[in-house]
Amino acid sequence: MRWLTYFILAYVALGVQVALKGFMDIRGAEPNLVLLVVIFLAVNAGREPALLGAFMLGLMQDLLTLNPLGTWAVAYGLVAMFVLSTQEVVYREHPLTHFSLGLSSGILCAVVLMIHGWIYPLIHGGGRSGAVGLFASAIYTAILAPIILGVLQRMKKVFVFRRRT
Amino acid sequence: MSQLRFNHVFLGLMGLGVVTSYFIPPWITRRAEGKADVLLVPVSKPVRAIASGLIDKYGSKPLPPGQTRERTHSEVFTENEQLRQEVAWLTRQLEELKLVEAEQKRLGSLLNYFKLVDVIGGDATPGRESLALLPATGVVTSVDAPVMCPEGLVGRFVEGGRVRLITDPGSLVIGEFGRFENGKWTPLSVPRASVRGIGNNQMKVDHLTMKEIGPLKVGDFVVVDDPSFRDRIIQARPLGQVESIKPQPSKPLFAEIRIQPRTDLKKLTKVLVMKK
Repeated sequence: MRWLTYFILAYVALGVQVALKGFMDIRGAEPNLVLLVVIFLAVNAGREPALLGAFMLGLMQDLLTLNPLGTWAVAYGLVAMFVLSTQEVVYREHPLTHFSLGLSSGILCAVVLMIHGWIYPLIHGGGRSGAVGLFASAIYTAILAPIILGVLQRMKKVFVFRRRT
Repeated sequence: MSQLRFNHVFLGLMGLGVVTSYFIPPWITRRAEGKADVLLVPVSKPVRAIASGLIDKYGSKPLPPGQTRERTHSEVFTENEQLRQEVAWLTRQLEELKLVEAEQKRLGSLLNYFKLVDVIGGDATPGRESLALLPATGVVTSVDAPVMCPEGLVGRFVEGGRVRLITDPGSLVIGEFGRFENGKWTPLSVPRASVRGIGNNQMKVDHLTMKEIGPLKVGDFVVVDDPSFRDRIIQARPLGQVESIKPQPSKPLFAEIRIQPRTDLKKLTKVLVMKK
């Protein structure tokens, strides 16, 4: 995988994610555009670049949020592991694949953040953050997945993905 | 790198992620935060400006609390006539208001105490509400320093230089209820409330009984009455307006009061930060 192209995509995705905060929400549900980039990497790239790329994307997102460092890194690492396991059994270009991967990955992230939201206040104090919005966010992200992943799939040649057989 | 070695490296990274996200105290990990937002300015600033322009032009304007429909032309015309008469009456009252003006001059306008700072973007986590600000000189960015906008209090600085909004889940500010009658602030005989953020640009109060909030109505205001804000200028600044009042389903004797700021704080493009 071309790492320069990866970093450019990560930069744009993170920039757009923080810029559109509050402008794209529907009844409190907000899309997670960075998650779609993680899914795109995990569906197309080899095992090691996908896992590392997803982890680093999560780490970068952790620098742009109130959540503690490492939260999104762990979540996206788990998402990449899950999506990698489905690489051989899904049609990578099909919109239904994009929707289902977006939904299941979003739910996985919501569960990770929800568990973190329960345990973290017990250790460090403070109030519990809401989790209902995360599941709504998963549905919203899944609806956007066929569009955004469809566009990214057309650009996959730029990344020069090489998968080990 | 062999697959086995990579697995060990990745497992180590995930383990490190779990340790930092659960066990390391936030004052250590947040030192790394707050620096990366500035790097995204070339992307986030134009995107946010475009989104803000589109929303202003084509977005629906939410109705203020207490209003259930758009007003008709005749209602607006009637209101304009009433306002013209009121302006004529208020002009004669100007002399009496000079005493109030003298007190306001002593405090000065908001811009004497605050500086306008650009917002780079929001929080990257869906459901969390914070803002990242462009670095500015001559302003107070220490932890718990307040951030304002013309409509009222926006939030406080946290470690890492981000601004945690008053609507972020778990955020807490103590407030006082009141209403404006004939242009005058009238506190209500309702106990001070812990106003807690619940996300989605909303806050709530759920520890007062239905009896205690007797005189409270939809559309009334909540203002800051929090001793944790040491600066006097923050006290009595608006937090928001009461959007709904209803008994809690699980505890019918207690009220659930939903409060909304007068503007969507996540969409702010500029905020006011206290000068040093």
